[in-house]
Amino acid sequence: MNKATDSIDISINDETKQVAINSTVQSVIEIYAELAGADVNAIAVAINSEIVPRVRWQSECCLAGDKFEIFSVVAGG
Amino acid sequence: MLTIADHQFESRLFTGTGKFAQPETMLAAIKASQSQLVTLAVKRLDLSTGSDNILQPLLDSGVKLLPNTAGARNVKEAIFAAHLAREMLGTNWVKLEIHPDPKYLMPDPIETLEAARILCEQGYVVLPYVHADPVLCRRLEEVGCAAVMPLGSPIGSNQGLATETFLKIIIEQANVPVIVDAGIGAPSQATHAMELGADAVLVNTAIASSSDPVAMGHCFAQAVNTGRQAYIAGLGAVSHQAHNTSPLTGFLNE
Repeated sequence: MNKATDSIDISINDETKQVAINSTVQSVIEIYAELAGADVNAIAVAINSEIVPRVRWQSECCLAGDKFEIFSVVAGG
Repeated sequence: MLTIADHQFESRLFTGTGKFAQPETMLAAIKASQSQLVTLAVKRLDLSTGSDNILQPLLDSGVKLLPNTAGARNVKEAIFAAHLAREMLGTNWVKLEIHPDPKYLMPDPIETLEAARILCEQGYVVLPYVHADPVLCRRLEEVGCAAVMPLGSPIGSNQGLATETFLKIIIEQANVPVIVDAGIGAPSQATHAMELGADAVLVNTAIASSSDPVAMGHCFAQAVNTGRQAYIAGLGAVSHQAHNTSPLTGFLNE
């Protein structure tokens, strides 16, 4: 199968990334948040400026052009 | 015991987690400070450098977490940050801070009041960081804020209680806890804020930027406790004239 047909481009925190078609939000977070060394329990995600609650991460799939924003907890006053 | 919303705190010292050289130092300093409420921020994850991973050790330490909305420049961004924090941490508590000006970090009162109104309607426990403005603090109370957090001086400046006159008015008028936030640079200033009748103080930079943050955390714990005890005991009246504390009977001549 042509790679162009089985993967899609999405953006994650302004970086373009290729992910498999029908990737769940959960799988994208596992790849990128965990790769970045972030605690997945301390993550929140917005797709196209809308927060996606954790309970929907397993059921929701990415669409081409989706803009992911992954947030984490950091130190602050 | 200090009560905010439905939560009780034995310690009246709240602490921030920013600016510490090492996460381990931050955790040890918070422990030494005996603080039971600590602030955190929300930030876009840097995919290359990752995050601090400070959450689990803080949860393990048993403190209550207070996410802030630092970085928000308006109502919309602050509400978004509060929603993210709730999703992330499972708490409806939020330290609302909206300061678009990067030099002095002065809180925007108009955006803050509107964001507070909306977040209170949405069921959040809102603790707004504001200038020491008694009128604004009343308005924030009216829209349902669980406490008010007027500043002593600019964030991180260690200038102390530059706003003392107005803090006194806020403390006198408030029906919700008053937490003096920002600018407290020395334990003596924390004591002073508590002697004025503040319900709590929030300290970050003064502890984090000390050359011994753990020792300084302990100093602040004592300072806040001393100030509170002095407030309860009641300070003596201030007068312009001297009033003798010993009998002036001139006994040497009698």
